Amino acid sequence: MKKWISIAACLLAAVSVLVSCEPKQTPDGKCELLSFALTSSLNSALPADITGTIDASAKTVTLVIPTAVTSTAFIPSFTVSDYDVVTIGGKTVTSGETSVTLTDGTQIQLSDEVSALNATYTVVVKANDETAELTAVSFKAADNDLLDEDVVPEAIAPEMIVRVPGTAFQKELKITVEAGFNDVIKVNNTPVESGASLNVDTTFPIDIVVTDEVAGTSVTYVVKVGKILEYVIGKLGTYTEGTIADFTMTLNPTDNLPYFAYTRKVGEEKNNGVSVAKWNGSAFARVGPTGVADASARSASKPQVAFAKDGTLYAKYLGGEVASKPTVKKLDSEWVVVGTTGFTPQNNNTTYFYPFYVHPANGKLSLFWNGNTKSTDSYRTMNLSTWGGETWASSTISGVIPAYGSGTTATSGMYYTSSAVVNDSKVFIASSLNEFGYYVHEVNADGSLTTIVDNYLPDGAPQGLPGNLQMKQGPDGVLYVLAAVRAGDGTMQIFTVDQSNKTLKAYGTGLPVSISSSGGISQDFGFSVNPVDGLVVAAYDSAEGNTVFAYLDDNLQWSSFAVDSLQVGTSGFFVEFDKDGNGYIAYQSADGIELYRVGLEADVLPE
Amino acid sequence: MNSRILSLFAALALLCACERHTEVFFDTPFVRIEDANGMSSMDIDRNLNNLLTDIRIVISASKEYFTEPVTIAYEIIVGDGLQEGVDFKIQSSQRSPLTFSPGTYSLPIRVIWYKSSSYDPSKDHTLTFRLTSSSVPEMLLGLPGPDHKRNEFTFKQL
Repeated sequence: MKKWISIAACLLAAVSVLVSCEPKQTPDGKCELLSFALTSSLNSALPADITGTIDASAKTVTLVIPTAVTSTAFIPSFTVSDYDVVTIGGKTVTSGETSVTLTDGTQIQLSDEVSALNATYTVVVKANDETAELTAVSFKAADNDLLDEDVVPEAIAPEMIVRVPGTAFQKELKITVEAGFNDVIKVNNTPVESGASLNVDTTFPIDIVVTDEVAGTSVTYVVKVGKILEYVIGKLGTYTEGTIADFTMTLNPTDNLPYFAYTRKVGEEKNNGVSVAKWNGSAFARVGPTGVADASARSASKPQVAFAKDGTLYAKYLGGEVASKPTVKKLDSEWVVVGTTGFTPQNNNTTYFYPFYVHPANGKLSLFWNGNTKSTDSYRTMNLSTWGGETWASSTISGVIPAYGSGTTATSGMYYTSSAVVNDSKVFIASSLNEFGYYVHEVNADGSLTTIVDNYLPDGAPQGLPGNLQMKQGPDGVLYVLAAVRAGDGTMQIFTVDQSNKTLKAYGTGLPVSISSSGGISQDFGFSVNPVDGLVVAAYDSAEGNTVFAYLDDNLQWSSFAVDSLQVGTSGFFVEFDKDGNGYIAYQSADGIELYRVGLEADVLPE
Repeated sequence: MNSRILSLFAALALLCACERHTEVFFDTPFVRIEDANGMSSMDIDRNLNNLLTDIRIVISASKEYFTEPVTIAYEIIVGDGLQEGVDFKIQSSQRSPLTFSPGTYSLPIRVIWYKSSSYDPSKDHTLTFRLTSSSVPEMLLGLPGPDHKRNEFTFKQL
């Protein structure tokens, strides 16, 4: 028995010696959670691994869990600093083995086995947004030497188009992309951090795939880089029939094509007759029989056309059958006189063109005129004649414009001319009267006038002038007026009609013009406004005798279009835009009517 | 008696016929290459310049096979009548291999064609993109079936 006790004592001593010889654990001085994750392989409720984000200073672990996951029991996988034991909910947890409940606010406690250190981390559960979305895409000027300013699409959409200046078109550019919460971005199949940038070949569409890694969903986007389109001028052709004396250009609202009413002399003809032609989209074509007017006795002048809403074409001219009086003809298969020839009660002033239109509100054919028969009520004042279906009715306009002689001289108030805008439902005219300023009226369906702008005098100008007075309608129904400003060196100025404040407002800089002491203007101007984008285009013969096509740029300064070898214009500059923004410029040269197209260059997108 | 036996068999047969069939789902992943119209070839007018063409590699795989990104490789076979950089240009970012993130099932391959200044009709003017491998071993290259249709796409400049 003693023997066995001795053996046991020896063994105990040996064990004691061995234990006392085991190396002592050295504290690492840390008690930290180094990583914390929930893997889908250990947690079947998860569609993908979730890696916790540890904030060491705040002692938090943020877990983004898909909203579809309802379970709160998870087996976490984690690493900690040496000798640290993890406890959650009072349960000692082994990484990758122990299931615990994890919700927002759950505390993860760490205690160091070989020191007094301990730490507590708080679980922060965030719901994923479940959405893969691109939030921003841009080409930053700071990243791209070829750009002067940042270029961004109008909106984030599955297909986006951005436009860059011509110098950067189809070049390699650096794109910057940003995406939403937990989203991973690939640009052209290359991963990009949100907010970072990547070089792309803009010859091709740029593919952007945004993936919400937690939700496991992706959204694809395509960015196409186009060029900022510029306006270009192209010559369509030159038209003549014999020798053309004068002409006007009017757009037919039904086919959107330009029509030309012109006086011409063919062969051995002694007098100027009238014809109508149009640009049919590819060539000039005569409209109706030649010889609208009977010019056997005398020449016709001041040819114009007007269109009814259904496209019915009317032509008007002075002279021809009746000296100094207007005749209107309708085109059926032949030109048919509307009412009688020379229907106004008095002679007309033949110096200017006057508005000739079909009122859109009631379909009545109407024309303004200036009486030139002395000792009549119509003499040198504004008159309006309207076709009533059986007869022409003429009346003298009064009350809304100054009466003839009502100013400081006997000829004051003399009606010079008007320019009309005929839109879908209304008619407006801008007018000039001797020794007074500019007027804008709405012409009501009954022929009465409602004053919009009364006697507007540009700064420093003693009066308005009739030369080149024109009115056009731009986007949103805004009316634009081109009028001479007889102040300083003299300019042709674009104004907008401020209908609320009943005034004109200068728009852009003026174009230099020569105004004689009597108010005469030797240069001819035409202008119009693109109803789509508001571009203002003018065509004119400069003081140097050159033909110029110009536009108001973004800074409202005039810039000239680059056009090769323009024929010198002799008179009659017209600019018109159709409702789709296709523009036409026509003017008269020694060869006939020169016609140009104004439009945006062809778009080239990578598609 | 015979009629009773026949009726019993008929009733049993009807009952058997009403037994629910086990539904079998087709779940073989596959990848194909095609244009927007699902075609495997496209003719290119050699007189057209800067013509952008767009074909796609499309994968069909259930979620079971698509938990990780799928990588598809393809080869480009250029006929001796074509020269890259002269006759065509391939979008560099879409060159093989293409990696499909989960949730992405289609990626484009784009080619810009340039006007051919010297066309030799005796030469091969085809450009072929042929699927060669997938990171998913079970994934078929081309449509399921013996012919593996749409496992390649061929442009031909005419």
